[in-house]
Amino acid sequence: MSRQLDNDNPTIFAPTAPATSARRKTGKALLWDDRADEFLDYDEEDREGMGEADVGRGEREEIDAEEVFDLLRSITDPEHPVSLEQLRVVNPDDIFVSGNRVLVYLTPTIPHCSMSTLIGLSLRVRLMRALPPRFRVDIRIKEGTHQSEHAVNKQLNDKERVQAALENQHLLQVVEGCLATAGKRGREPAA
Amino acid sequence: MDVPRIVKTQITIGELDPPADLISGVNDGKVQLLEVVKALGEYLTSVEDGVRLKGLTFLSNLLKSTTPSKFNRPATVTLTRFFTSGVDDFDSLPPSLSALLVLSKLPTFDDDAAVEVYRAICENVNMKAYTQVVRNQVYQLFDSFLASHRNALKSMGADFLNSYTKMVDGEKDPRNLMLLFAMDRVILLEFDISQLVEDFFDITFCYFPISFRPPPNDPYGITADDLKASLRLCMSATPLFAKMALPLFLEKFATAVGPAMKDLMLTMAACFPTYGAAAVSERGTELWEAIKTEILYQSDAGIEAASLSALESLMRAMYPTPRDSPTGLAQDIIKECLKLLEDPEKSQSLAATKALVAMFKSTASVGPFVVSQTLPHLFRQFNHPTNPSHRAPILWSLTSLLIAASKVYAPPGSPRQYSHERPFEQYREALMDTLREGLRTNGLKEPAARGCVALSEIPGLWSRTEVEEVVRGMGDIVLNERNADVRKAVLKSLTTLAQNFPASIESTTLPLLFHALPDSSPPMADASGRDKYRSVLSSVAELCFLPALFEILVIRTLNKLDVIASLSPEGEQRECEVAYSFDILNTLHGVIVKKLEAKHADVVKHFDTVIPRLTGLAVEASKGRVGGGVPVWRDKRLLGLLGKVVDRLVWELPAERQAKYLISLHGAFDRGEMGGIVAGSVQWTAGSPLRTGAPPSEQNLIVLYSSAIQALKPDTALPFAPADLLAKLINWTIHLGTAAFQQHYALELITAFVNKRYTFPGMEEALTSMMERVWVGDVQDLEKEEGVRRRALAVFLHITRGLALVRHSLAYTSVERVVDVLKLASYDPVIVGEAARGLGVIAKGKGEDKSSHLTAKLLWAQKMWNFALPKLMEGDADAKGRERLVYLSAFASLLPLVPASLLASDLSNILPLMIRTLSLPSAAERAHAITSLESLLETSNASLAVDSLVHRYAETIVEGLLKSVGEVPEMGSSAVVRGNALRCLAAVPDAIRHEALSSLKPVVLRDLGRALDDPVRSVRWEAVECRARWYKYK
Amino acid sequence: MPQLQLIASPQSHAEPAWAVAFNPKRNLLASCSTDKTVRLYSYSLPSSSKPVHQHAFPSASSDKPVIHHVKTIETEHKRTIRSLAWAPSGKTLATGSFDSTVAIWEELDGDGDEGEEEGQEGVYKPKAPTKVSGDVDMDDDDGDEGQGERDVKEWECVTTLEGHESECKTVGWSADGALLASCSRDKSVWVWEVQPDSDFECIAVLMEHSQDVKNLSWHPHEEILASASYDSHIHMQWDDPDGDWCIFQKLHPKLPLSQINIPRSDAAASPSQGQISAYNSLVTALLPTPEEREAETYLNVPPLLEDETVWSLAWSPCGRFLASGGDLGGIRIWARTGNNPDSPFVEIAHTAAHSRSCFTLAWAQGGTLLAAGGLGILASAGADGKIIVWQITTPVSADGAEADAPSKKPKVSIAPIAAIREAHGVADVNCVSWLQREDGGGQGVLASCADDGSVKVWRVVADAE
Repeated sequence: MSRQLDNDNPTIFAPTAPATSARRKTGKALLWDDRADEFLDYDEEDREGMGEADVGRGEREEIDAEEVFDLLRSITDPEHPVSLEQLRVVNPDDIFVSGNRVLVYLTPTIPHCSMSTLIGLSLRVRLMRALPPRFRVDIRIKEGTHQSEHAVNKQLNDKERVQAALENQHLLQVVEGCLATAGKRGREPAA
Repeated sequence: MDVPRIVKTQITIGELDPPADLISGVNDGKVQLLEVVKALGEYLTSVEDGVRLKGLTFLSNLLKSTTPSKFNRPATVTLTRFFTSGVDDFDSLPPSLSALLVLSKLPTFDDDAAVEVYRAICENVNMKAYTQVVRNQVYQLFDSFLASHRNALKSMGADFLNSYTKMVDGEKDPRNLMLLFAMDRVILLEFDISQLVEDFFDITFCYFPISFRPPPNDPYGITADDLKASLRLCMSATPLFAKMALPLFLEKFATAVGPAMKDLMLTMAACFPTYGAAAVSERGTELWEAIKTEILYQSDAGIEAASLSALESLMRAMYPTPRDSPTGLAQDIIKECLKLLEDPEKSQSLAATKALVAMFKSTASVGPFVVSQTLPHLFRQFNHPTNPSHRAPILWSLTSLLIAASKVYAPPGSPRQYSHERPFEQYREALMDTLREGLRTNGLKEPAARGCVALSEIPGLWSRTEVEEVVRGMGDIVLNERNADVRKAVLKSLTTLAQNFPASIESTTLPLLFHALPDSSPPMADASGRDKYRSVLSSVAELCFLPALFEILVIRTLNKLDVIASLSPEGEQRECEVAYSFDILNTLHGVIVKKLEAKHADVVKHFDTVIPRLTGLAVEASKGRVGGGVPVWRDKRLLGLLGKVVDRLVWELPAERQAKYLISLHGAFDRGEMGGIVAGSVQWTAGSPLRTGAPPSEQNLIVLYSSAIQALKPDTALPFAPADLLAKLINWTIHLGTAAFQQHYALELITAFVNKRYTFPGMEEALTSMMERVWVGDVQDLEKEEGVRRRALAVFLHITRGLALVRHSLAYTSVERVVDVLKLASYDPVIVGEAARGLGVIAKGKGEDKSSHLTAKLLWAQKMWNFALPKLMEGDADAKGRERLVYLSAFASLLPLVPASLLASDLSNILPLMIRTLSLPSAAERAHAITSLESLLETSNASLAVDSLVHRYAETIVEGLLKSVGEVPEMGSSAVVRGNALRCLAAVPDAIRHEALSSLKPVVLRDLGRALDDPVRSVRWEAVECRARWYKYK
Repeated sequence: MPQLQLIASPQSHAEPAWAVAFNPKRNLLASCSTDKTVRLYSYSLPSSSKPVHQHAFPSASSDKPVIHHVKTIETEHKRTIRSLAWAPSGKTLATGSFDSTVAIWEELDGDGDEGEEEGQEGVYKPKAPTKVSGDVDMDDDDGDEGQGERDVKEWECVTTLEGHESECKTVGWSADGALLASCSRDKSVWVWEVQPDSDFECIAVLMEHSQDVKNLSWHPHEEILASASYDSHIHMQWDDPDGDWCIFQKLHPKLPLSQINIPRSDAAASPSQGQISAYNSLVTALLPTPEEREAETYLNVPPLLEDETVWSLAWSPCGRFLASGGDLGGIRIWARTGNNPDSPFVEIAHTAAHSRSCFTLAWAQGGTLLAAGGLGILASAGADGKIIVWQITTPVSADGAEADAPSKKPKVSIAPIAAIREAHGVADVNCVSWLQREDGGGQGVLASCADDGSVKVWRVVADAE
């Protein structure tokens, strides 16, 4: 593109492996390789030969920070053809979930990145669409990583402006562009 | 034949393609060509252009379809003369040319003729005046001359060359250019152009660099690359071009960008060697400067690669043989590169490394020189880095060189032998020290490992001791490295290395790894311990894939399993041991599968070790015992996995070996002779595990019997009458082996057996009567206890499945029976519901597992579907109220049988049914319907009929799906059905135009909002995808 | 102790609903939404709804008003309709949209000269203006107000006001309906003069806000216009007699937050079961739940350090006080310190109210009697999904005259009397609006709308069910 990029050569980090399944498993489940699952069909019947029923079946898997991160990691940066995860704009450790509240910190690639608002908007839209409506989402620029941190924060959390932005076809297209890859969620797209 | 009349009529009616009989007449000699010419005479000589043209064309066409042998010398000469005379006339030229082309290919067409015609054309034809089609004809003719009368043209000397360059000058048409370039090359190579270098330079280089974008749907499909390649062949055809070409190249650098730059580089790479040392050296420095910029600052990988090959070729040209000492430019370049390597973290240093690699690859003269200049430098930097973070890139630079070296020296028959160049001799120690250090140091392990592999591959460089040292180092990383990526990378290197040095891996790495496997599982809480052994297992799996190492895996894993089996753990710890055993066995299984896919022959020969020993574990564990915990090997997951291993290996056995094994297996399950199937001895007094009153633990051994028989080849000899076995099995399945696990394997066994043996003498009758007995005697007998009836039905359906696959008539009568009982919904609800769902058994077909050994005849599924569907629809139509439900669920259960494409044919009837199934209470049945619906939607755009139907029902479909997305009262739900429904909904936006659903969109988005809160994470995943698609739906 | 009682939740909008408003003259309620429609609902009050005295709330068990959807206006707006306002006449409706335009709507007359009459048939007819509202004998000659709107005709857009450069956020009619004001993301406030045949002339453009103007509110009987902005300022403007429309004061919040003062349970006085439960429900509605506290402490969301946006404004019925709602959820009260139109305002209170943005305020008569210093009831709602009803009072001296002369800085007390959490489930509440009729009927009836598109109607009842 001819336009001068805000940050024409950002540091790119290898994406971390797809969400480790470790946190999803507990107790007995942790013990078993997923490959054993196909043989588990018979575990309802006699425990003999089976040991006690395997725990954690049917219990609710709560939405946690890692799941939220999964929703955001593969969003494409507005300026570069790489994911926000690769740019470390969103990091698993900067996402907090509790009850019906979600807090996401985003870290701009450079302190004067004019794209931060756009990125924040993409995050908000993604979460509006992908999180149950019961969640109240707060998005913040990671402290001290952007020169107009507070102004951006205020904008990102003004819902009227978000709604208006969504009705601005041009803006919406850009956002949709960033979100187009969001479905990968750290994996390669299904062919 | 009245030639004149034919000719007359043809010409007068203007039909210029000669009639078949005339052609055949000419070809089988009834008519002389010259007769025809005579007959045409008046036209050919007519003063009216139109008439004359007709005559010409007619004759020319005739020649095209005349067999060469029919042209005798005089005919050829006359015709040639005649058509040559036509070339000066604008309209006559095209037919004349095509005639001449025919003639020029004739043996009777001699050199003089060629020269004559060529001259005539050059003198009379003004190329500019003609379309590229006609020009093409001219070139074709020239080409044919060049092919068959080259020497004649040569003897014309400058005369030819001059005229040629004039004729072809200014051609633009790509198709013609392709032809010209081909001719040019021949001329440049074979003709003496020394006097006309400039002219040829002009007609060749004027096209460079080629900027050509093929027109859309170009009939000749000529690409820019085709043109570039063939032009390149011309440009690099003769050293005579060098003087003019090199300056041209240098000036092109100023302007070329993108593809042009790549073309320029590749062209130079092609030209330098032909142009030769002398010429190239003159401009060497300038050329390097130009190439360098691209190597250092080019972001496009393609161009960079091209630049590197240009550099390589530059070196080739300047220092072709080992005798040419790499002084001057080579030295300077290396100096520059080393300068850039001073700051290894700059991207230029990477480029510098690439440049050095390219130079190394160039020639036996430059290669070793590069090494001698570079290595000391790198060692110095590595040992005394200005900044510790520099060591990794430095090591990568070194490794890159080593890899290049292995690429150059390793391939058998490569022109460059290590033994001739020996560049690394004086650095042996230094290299080993550096790599040793690398293998020890975090951040350096990966490049070090890669470097080791490279060196190990260079023939005659490393002795076994050196190899073993690095193998030890790498093994240590594979075992202890925490960073999974590094571990994987090094393991990969080690595996590559293993191919050349299996012995070293066997003697050093494998013992190290296997020793790291504990003799009993770490306790439940010790997750890290478990990760450790899993990582070890995956490592040995990688390494032991090699035939040379597989045996060790077999022995070690079996021993380990023995050890674990000998423990008698309690409660939680037992579960751990089971999981541990499972992981070990699964590793073995995984490698076996991978090797079989890779067609390794060595797998089967381990059958006699693997199977009996594993069987032994299972048999031993199944024995009734007093006190002690439950043996590990009673675990069904282990048994199930064991079943898979048995299946795999038995299937690989040749028929006679199978038969042999089957005898002992049958002995075991028929008469309880367990000794025959286990390694070593076993105390077994119990009798057959299938006997009445056998404890469940023994009954579970059915998995062995079942897996083995499923894997039998159809022609394997049986030690028993098939009918007898079948009878026994049926009885056992209905009355004895009642646990789900046993049922599963027994029923699969029955299906497989029937499916493969139904043709055996006596089987048909036996099957008929047995099914009759099962159906009437058990299934329909309300007196019998429910369990018996259910199992009997299952047996009945699985037999039917086996037969349906081979389109056996019994299958259809049986299905008819099943559909028939659906009438009795309210009279015999239990069995009817079961029967309806039961059709799903048949729909399973060969089963998901690709390695299923069932035989299926072509179109069996379609046949069954077309048979059953009408009956179901009929029944559905006749039934009332709730009684219709069973037909729906039968329909739903049968749906997986057929691909969407087949549904399409009768969709107007099927779709409404499918939509109704969306309201079935059973989640499982809805799940089937939804899956079919999804694949239907995915293909709907293919056919108009389907498309319009889908659109007509669009809203009902979506509303139906939404029911399965959320929880609806008195409708069962499951993660599976919710997931399917969401996937299906996600397919809607692509299948159905927005107008049809715009009103529903807000509703869908709202309901999906709820689905986002599904208790199951995987379902939420689908919900997110689905909702994202619906937001984009416009 | 009063409570909020849900009396209707008519069929909702397909997309977020942003504003609701009761027609001042006819039995109509209007709502607008991102779905670009305006929905009209007709209501009818139970005939018994005449209040005992003007400020009394009905009892929970008394007959409820009936509300139903009567018409959906598909507007020409191209984007979200953010706000709507009824002209005092009740005949004209203004809508403000993110497409930057303001549209003016009127009901098509029936055909012929009789049209007017027919059009009015079955419509609640207001008393002559001379009859002051609150007049005791108000026997209604036609009981029509008992029924809802019988027939609502087509509504058509009679004119579209263009001029704003970007999203119009709020529209409002001056007390006498002679002026219309609109504000926008473009930082400007426009004042339009209403002229014959639904013609509008822009008579002033005030451009002194430095950010979007979120909200505006006309003084209940003077030509004073307050506007609130993202720039955290409130501008007070008027038509300077010797000059043009201009800002006479720029208010900037200063007071620190004070805790909600939940009135002592008068359960002590009359410890009826209902009272206690009502009191408890109020407390539980106002105070964060344990989960919320936990989440709060775990996440500790850093506060927005820029000055807070002022989202909402509401005048006290008497016109001496102005309430403003902020992005941090607090409510501020500003008091006028003189009797001239342009006498300055001072900030006199800042109470904690909502845990997230306070998007909307509505202030009406009701509750404590004027004599007892009652200034009416204030409803607030916002992003925390709560609706809170506050009793505003000002201390009175023994002689019943107000304690302090207007010149001095008056005091007010702001006490929550009823509240409900998750008023619209998990959705943000975007707007609340009181039913205010000159006959004082339907006292304490409140409409609200939310992000999930739902519209609800509540009433404050004197006691728990």
